[in-house]
Formats: sequence, C-alpha cells, structure tokens
Amino acid sequence: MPEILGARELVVALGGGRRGLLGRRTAAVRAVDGVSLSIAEGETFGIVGESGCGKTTLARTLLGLQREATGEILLDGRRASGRAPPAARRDRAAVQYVHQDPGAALDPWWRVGATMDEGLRIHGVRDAGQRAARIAEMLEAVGLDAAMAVRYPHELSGGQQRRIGLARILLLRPRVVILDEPTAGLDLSVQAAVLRLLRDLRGRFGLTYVFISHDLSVVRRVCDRIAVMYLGRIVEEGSAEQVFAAPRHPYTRALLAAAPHLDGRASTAPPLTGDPPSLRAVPPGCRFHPRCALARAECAVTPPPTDTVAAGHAVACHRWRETVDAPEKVPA
Amino acid sequence: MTALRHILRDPVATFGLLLVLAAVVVALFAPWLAPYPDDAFESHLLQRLRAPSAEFPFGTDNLGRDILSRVILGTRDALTVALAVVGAAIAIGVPVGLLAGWREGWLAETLMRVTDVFLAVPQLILALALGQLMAPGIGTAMVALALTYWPFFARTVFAETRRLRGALFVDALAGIGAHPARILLLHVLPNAAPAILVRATIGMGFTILTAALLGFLGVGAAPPSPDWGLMVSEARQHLPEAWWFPTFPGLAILLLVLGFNLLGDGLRDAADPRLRRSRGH
Repeated sequence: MPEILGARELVVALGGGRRGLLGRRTAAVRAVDGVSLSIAEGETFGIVGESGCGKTTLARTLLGLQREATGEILLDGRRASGRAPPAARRDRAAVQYVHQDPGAALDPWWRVGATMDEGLRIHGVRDAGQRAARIAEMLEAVGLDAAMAVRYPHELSGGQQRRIGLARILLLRPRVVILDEPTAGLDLSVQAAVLRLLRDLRGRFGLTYVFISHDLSVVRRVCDRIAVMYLGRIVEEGSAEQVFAAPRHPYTRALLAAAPHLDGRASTAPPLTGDPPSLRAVPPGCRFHPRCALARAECAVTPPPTDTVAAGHAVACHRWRETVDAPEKVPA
Repeated sequence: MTALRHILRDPVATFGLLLVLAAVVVALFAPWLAPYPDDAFESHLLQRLRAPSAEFPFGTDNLGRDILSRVILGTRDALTVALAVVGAAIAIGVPVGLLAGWREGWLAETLMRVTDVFLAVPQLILALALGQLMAPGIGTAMVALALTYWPFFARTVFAETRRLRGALFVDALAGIGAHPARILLLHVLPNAAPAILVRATIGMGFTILTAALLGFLGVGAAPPSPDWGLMVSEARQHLPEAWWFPTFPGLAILLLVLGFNLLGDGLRDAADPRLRRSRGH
C-alpha cells in the first residue's frame, strides 16, 4: 500500500519567545524531536506512550494546528508542510482529528445536528437538502437514530457522544482520521462497540486511522502497525505482532509488563520506575537511560541510532540485541 | 427556559422578576394607567401640596400635580434611559471584550488598558463635567452613563472569551477549519451570553439609580418632565410637611432597583456552570 501520510525528521517546539513587552525570552520545549513516520493507505497506525510524551502534539502538527519547527510532512507523497496554521490546515484538509473527549468538543449550546450541519457548511456544501441527506446517512452509518440530531450534547451518553464526534468528522469525507484516545473513559462493552464501529467505518469509507492511545490491549486489537513514543521520540516501530510478540526496546517491554494481565502471572521484564523526565530537562544520550534497567555508561552519552531488527521493525536502543533472549510473553 | 424555571424556584429572584415585570407593564400602559395623564406637564396651583386622599392617593406636588400619575409616567422614562444606556454599553463593551479576549498581542493590551482608564473615571464627575460642556439634560446624562458603564461589559466578555478560547469545542471548530469570526460570533458569544445578561440586569438597576441621582443633582432630566430623581429634588424645599412628595418617587426608585438587583442575582445563580451542569444528568 502506498504511503498516504508521512513525516520526515519532524521537530515541534512549544513555547519560547517573549512574554510581554519587556519579558525575558523563555526557552522552547521540543515536544516532538525528530520523528519520522510513514503511514500506508488503509492501515491503522497506533501511536502509544505515556501521557506527556508528545503524542497529542504530534497529532496536532500532522493536522496543521501546530506549526513544525523543522522537518517535512508529506501527504500522498507530496510535501504539504512549511505553512503557518490556518493555511497548513487547508493543505491537509484530508486529515481530520477526533478529540479525546468528543462531548466537550461539541458546543453545549448547539443541537448536535446543527453542529454537524455547520461542519458541512464550512466545507462549502451550499445545498441544505444535500447537507441534511448526508447527515442522515452518516448518523445511520455510526449507528445512531436520525432523531438524535435534535438533541443537545449533554442529553447524550458517552458512547453516543463518541459516535456523534465521529460522524461530525466523517461527514467532511477525510481520508486520514486521527483518533485521540478513542476509547478512554468508556466501559468495556461500549468500548468494544466503538472499536467494532471504527473497523466497519474504515472499510465502508476507505479510511486510514492514526490511533493514539496508552491502552495497549486496545492498540493490540485494532492496530496494524505501532510506534512507541518516549519524550518526543519514536523508540520502537513495527507491526503489531512484532512489537507485541518480540518487543526490543526496554521501554516497550516495560510498558507491556505494566499492562494488567488477566491471568495474574508475574512479568519477567523489569517494571518502570519513576515518572518520565520533564521536556525541559531531557537526559543526554538515550532519553530513557535514567529509568532503564539495562542502561550502561554508553547510554548516558550517545543517543542510540535507529536499528532495523527485522523487515519493518526498527528500534532505537544500544542494547536491543540483549533483549532477544528474554522475550516478553504476552497473552494472546 | 431552564433559567426561568430556576428563577421561579427561588422566591427572592421571583420577587425581583415580578417587580421588573410590573414596572414594564406600568411603563407600557402608563398613559392609560395614570389617573391624570395630563399632569405630567400641567400645573394646578389651587390644589398644591395636598396630602394623600381618595382623589390623589399619593398626594399632589408643589404645582398641584397628581404624584401617582407622575410616578407612573416616570416609569417609562426610567426604563427607557436604563435600556438605552445598557444597550449602548453592550454595543461598545462586548465587541471590545471579544476582540481583546480572542487575540493576544498589542491590540488586546491596548484595548484592555483603555478599558481600565475608563473604569477609573468617576461616573458622577464625568456626568457633571459633560453637563457643563453640553446642555445639561437627560441626553447628556445618558452619554455620561454609557461612557462609564461599557468597561464592565468589556471586562466580563474578555474573561469569558479567554475561558472559552481554550475550550475543547473551540479547538474542534478550529480543527475543522472554522473562520475565527464564525467561532466568535456563533459560538463564543452565545456561550458568554448568560454572563452578559447577568451584568446587563444588574446594570439596569445601577443605571436607574445613577440617573435618578443625576436628576436630583440637576444635570439629568429637566423640569417639567416626570423624572423620579427630579421629583425628589423638587420636594426638598417642602419637607418635612409634605412627606408624601419625596416618599413615593423615592419608593419607586427603591423598588425598581431592588427588582433588577434581585433578578440579577437570581440569573447569576441560574447561569452558574456548576448549577447548570446538573440540568442534564
């Protein structure tokens, strides 16, 4: 499958600049620091990592709401970056974003039908009849009754809000949809229904998903390929089977070990200790070394290169070869 | 509608609402309600300063005019002045607050500092000064009141806009490519409307009070118009014998200002987001 959305050496700096007329310059923080991605058409690409690792900043930059400092974003193989937010957003209109909390992403004073209608209006659908027909069709596609359109956001359940949030975005006929924690805060039965719906919609509308989550069990069920992020960098990338069956980066292994297992067995990988360091004080060398059980002197000095483990499986760790012998067993 | 239901559950706010509604009805039908509608301007020197009786329930004033009729006729002016002043203050303050709240930078800074300067101008002194510069009269008083009241709206809307600018639904709208003007006018403004309404209601009472004060000081309404503040002022020379002369216009001011303030407090409670949240779930 050809690449639909790609990033090359993307760096995003947040903050910085002067505050006020006489304020001191504050240092910028590199929330995304040299990320390269290649997302193929029709796949579900997972981005996992702890909160604060830059997942959402990466998503907002791919979307064009945040400007990249350096690096390129490619859409359909063509360069679609280098412009300031409103223009960048227009360049990448084929990419749309579904918020983590779709209830709060709806204006509380507007009926959800009016909110959906507004999206179409903004995207230049002039004919009112055509807008109504597309909304009815989309409500049906996300499994909601057409009568829902006259409700206010607070009159919907969490699952319904998520369906409306999806419908609102899919109405704009995107090709790539960035889903930010699409199952956070839902109970398991609703979560399963939402994941099933996402799979159906992907087939029906020919979508490509970028799936941002910290819930590994969900990522494993829906993603084709996975990138693991740590402090603004991708530390491991590969197909879902590769990453889950044979994780090579100590951070990935620790994340997998930290995920709750239903059978209650003990994990062989060392657990993660402490919180991720602040982006204002990024550790030198490998960014993970202060929390890594395998860290050696070298790790604190040299940033690790990205090595290829197998076809499509890459890892950025000095000592990934030593993790081969103790593969983490993950329940199927 | 939910706000109305919330107010009706609150007896104090309901009382305020009733006072305001009564004043509106009186103002609308003043010429038909007043027993002597011509007494707004006509004097009857033979019946001056009569105590309250069946014929003149509120008594008569120094020119023999029926005080009840003049209080009723004065309601219309009091409400018109308050509406015009608050309307003008909204027309200036709301756009300033929206613009300054939405964007950061020199424009927002300048707008808010100008707002602060106007906040520091003492209302009465500006009104007196304007009265000296232009002809003293109700028009001058209204200009002075509007010039000193708009900063309150600018501050309220500024705070609301800053709050809403970071709201997820505004971010989502920017995400689907909505123009900032659309976001501001169709989304931020309606969400800020409860705060504006509360501020406007309290501002109505405040304006009525200040307009009456200006009338009393002689830079507001000019005789012989039936202005409540002016009536209290004219009564001063006839105290304490003609106690009814200042009492009834004074009571009218008190009740209407009280009504607006109680209603404003009730609206503020109804618009409180913590209370509003409970309406859905």
